[in-house]
Amino acid sequence: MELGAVTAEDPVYDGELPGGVGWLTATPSVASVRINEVARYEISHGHVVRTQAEPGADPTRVEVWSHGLVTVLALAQTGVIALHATSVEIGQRVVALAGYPGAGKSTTALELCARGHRLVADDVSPLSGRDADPITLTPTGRPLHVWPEAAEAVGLQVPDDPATIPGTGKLILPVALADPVAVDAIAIITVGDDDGRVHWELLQPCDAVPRLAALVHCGSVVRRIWPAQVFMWAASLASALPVFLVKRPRNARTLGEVAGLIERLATEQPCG
Amino acid sequence: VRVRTADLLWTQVGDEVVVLDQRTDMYLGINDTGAVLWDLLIDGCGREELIDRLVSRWGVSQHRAAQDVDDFLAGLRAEALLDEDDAAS
Repeated sequence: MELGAVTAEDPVYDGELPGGVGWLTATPSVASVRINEVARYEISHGHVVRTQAEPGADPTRVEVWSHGLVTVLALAQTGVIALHATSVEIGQRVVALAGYPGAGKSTTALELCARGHRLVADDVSPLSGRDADPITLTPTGRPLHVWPEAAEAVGLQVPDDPATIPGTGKLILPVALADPVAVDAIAIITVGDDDGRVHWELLQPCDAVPRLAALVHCGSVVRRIWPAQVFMWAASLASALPVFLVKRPRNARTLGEVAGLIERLATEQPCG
Repeated sequence: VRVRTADLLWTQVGDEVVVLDQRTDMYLGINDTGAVLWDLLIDGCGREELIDRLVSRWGVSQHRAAQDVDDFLAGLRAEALLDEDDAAS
């Protein structure tokens, strides 16, 4: 085994990360991550105990990975699973907008912010709930990653020389760390119906479970290390919260319509 | 007849049961009627007992309950969710 933290027990995951971006060795309680040409991270029992940047690595990339996979692993080690979702407070209700990359989560959330609502967490939404407790989202303070044109379209204040994610051009905009909040609903945004209209349905809890489990942040890694926890987590979310499936056409101009729909669902539909 | 326990996760969601077969990564949703049978199959249970439970729980005829039980067991066998030794019985 190459890295130091994982020594006490056989790793559950010891292999290349999806996309060939690096290597992960992990048990449910400790993990060593190497991201090629970026950094090595060691995470133990919920804490990042060491970050060692590779020589010449872009500090921005070191931070981006720290706020993504590294944070997600640290949370999962403590039993908190993160949904791949951007969460917004709409009136008195918090809705987690879940979806795969490109679904329009962040852009929809920004559109909602432009309508006066509050961003709670971007992209990483750690959700936990036990027994009869409400499902709680504990924001991680991950900066907002947004396309420049999306920021401009919703009138977001952008500094003169903003940080960007190398290789993508997405802006990195700091956000205030929000307090934990109870979540009232989940809306899963999907792309693909090309009849030009936005559709929605309320999923039956049984149907929501696999969809939520599939939308765990860094899912292919987290599901492999904590399969039972992810399953029970998805079931607890599906039991406690309404889960809406929102289908939109590929046309990004429909995201305003999606935002309007999310507003209506948050205010008019029964929530958790 | 008994549910296979290896590589299988399940939990109650409302009145229904959701099952994840870790061998195939397939999810199975079991409705409220099936959920009653599933609970019995976890510990192992004979076909006649399953039929009796449906009759007493839902007030359906013996004939209808037998059909439902056979359909349910056939579905589980098709998904390889029963212990093989028991599934052959």
